[in-house]
Amino acid sequence: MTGMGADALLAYVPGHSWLHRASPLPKLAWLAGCVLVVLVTWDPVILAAIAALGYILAVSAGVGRAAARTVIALAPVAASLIVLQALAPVACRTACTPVASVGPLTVYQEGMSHALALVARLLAMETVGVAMLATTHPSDLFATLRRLRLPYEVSLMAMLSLQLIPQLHHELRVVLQAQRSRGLRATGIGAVVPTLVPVVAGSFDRLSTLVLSLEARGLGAGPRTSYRRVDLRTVDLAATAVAILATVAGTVMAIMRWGGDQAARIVLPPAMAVGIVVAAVVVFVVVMVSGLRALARG
Amino acid sequence: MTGASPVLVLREASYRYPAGAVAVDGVTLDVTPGSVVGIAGANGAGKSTLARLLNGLLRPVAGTVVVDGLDTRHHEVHELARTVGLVFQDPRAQLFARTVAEELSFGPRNLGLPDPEVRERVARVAARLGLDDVLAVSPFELPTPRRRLVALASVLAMEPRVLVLDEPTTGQDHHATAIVAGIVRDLRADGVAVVCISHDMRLLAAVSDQIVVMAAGQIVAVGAPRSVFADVGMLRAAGILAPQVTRLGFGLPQRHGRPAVLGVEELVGELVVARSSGEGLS
Amino acid sequence: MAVIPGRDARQARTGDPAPPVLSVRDLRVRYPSAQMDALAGISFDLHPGELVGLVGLNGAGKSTLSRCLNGIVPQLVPADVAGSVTVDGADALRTPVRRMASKVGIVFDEPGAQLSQGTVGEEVALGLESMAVPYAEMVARVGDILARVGLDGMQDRPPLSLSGGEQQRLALACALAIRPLVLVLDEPTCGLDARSRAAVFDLLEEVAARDGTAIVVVEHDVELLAERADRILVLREGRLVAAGSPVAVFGDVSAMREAGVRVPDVTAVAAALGGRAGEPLPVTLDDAIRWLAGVG
Repeated sequence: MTGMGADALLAYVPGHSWLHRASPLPKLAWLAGCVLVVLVTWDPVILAAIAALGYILAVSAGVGRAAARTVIALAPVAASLIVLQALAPVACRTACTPVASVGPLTVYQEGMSHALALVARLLAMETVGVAMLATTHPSDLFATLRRLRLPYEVSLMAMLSLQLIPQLHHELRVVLQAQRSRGLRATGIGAVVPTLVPVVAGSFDRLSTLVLSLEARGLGAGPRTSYRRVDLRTVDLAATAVAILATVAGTVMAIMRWGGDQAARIVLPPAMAVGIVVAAVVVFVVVMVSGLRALARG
Repeated sequence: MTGASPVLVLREASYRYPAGAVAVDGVTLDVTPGSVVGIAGANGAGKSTLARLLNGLLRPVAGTVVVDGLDTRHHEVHELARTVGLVFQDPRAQLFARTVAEELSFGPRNLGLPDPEVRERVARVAARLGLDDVLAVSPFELPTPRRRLVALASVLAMEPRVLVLDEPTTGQDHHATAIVAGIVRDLRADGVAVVCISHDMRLLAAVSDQIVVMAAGQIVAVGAPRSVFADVGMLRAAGILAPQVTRLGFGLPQRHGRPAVLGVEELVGELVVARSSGEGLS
Repeated sequence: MAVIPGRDARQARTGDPAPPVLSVRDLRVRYPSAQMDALAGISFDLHPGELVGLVGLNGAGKSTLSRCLNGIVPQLVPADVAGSVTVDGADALRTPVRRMASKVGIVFDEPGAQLSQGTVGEEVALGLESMAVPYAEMVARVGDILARVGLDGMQDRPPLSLSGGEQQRLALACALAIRPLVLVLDEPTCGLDARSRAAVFDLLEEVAARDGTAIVVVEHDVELLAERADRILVLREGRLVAAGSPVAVFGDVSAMREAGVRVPDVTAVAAALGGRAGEPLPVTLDDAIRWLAGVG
């Protein structure tokens, strides 16, 4: 478990940019607001604009690479959205306009447009999410949430879960090494049990030791003070207020102008539509396979 | 040690972690069959990294590691596992099966051996390590010392020519440690080359034919235990201590200039002989 | 930190007139569905500032005993218990474990498993937060304890990015931050090299001497315990079969053989040479050199 550096804190990327120095509260407010607006918006152009803005924010804060990594990691999700929506859209039910057909599969225009909107929405949430979260130390994040009256137990559980992921990843690597040393070829169904059982058993053991350690240090004995301090200056509160206003305005605009039926429809030439679907399938396969390979290599 | 050709050959082997830290720096070492090499060194000296270089889990960034003629850079870990067995420090990293028998058969099955051969090997290794009585028991129900034996047995069932033990006695009481020492000696007698990484100097003194001392990724001393433990300056610089009985031997003025002792019986024998030859009674 | 080779043998503490800070009386523990008692009637006292080593074979009951001292057994690890464990007047077996935290600190043998917070500073402060220590005092105590364990200035590092030895010191710092009256350590030198082992015990000695903390260390390294501990408790199959100074305990070689406990090698050498009437066997390197200098 030793030497686990920065990835011990999942999304957080240490740095000194303006965004890193900003208080978690306005960042959280802007993120929450952005997610809300994005969820009620259907206009792919607006969504793409928000995604682009998010990426610019991330780059300006020095976490552009983290944003790119997140986009790549979630590419299979985006790819499946495209494929599923394009071929079996829910947006138009019976009145769908076919764009192109390859054998039994038909790509529909509404589906394509819908898919692009969904992907843009996903990208917007990813880039803005990374920009806001990767620049916030989890401890500051939770300290802020606790100031907003989040119960300590919930914050602790979230904190532990955050630690759990890199720990499990590390454990998985060690177990894979041990089993490969016993001749295991790390592919196929036969590898699952010998790999998962030790990880799960080990996690059980470690969790019970952790619980004992936390109790033995007095957890739950009564009201707590907090070592991690987050200052809320006037400028932070002002920024949060602006975020809330922007969210309200954006939501209203979204409902009035950027919603379902009024959304600009993207009309694609047939070749491009098919090309996008094929590209999505390729991206899906490539990312999944290289991800599994990377995991197996340890 | 016979004049047999070495089964494990390292030449200027180096390893650097992706983050840049050099963990093993230009290690050159030969290990012959039927010998025991003890690897000692302070925490962070590179011992565990070296262990992982020996079975191909890590590939040297410079230099070579050749196991029974196979260059580890050109072979997969599961291929090398036929020849090099690595027993991890924590048995929990390995144990997964429903019964000890299943656990022991995992390795041989991975090697592609036919079922009758697998059964035979399981029976052999279980008998050797005193695990016959728990073959049908789940490894998770066994107390820790026996679990460690199961982990060791599961690697021995693959009948490797080289066995690498990473801290085999950490947290164990002296009974368990004695059992491990016995197993190591038996393996040596069978012609297996054993590489034993340990902080337990008593163990290394008792079983090693050669001791390798590592510091900052490099080998700072190689030799018979007697000569290695006599080099007090090197030991201090490397951050390790000779076994207590060895230091006692060096501390007695009447033994000035005599070679290092490696165990209690040896020192007692010397002192009894000296006493009975009348050189002074206390 | 210690200079290698080890320190001079410690002088045995003269009888300490201070009342015991921990009292165990007739402690009996049996785990559910076990055929035998894990502990079969243990009684002993701990005094402030004492460094006590707890030895015995695996399965003798050392871990069980260490977990009884703050009530983990029977409250969090179910077991049938009889007898009493009293720490500073509190009944450890019945007082909720989280309330015993201010009196008894415990460090388990797997340091990584005890670390869960985002930074080293927060990890050390966890216990202080639970006791509602004011912010300014918390910051000061965290800085102070990190300096004492040799992790100066590492408040902002992620705990899991520390090396194994550093994690061990961090786990110790977490327990010490609360300033317990009794500190229990389960194999703190497991997997550490000689220098680090000596450093751990240097720290424990400093804590015992400076803060008056009573310390119980479960250990297999009998040579180290003989050099550093004030007292040794020997467990065998759930019973306390020997208790006393290292000289008294390890010097009784036949009793140790029966208990299955190894004596320091220097003691074994002296014993094999027949011992000397009226003189206890040496248990430390320096004593053994003095003792054996004339022989042969």
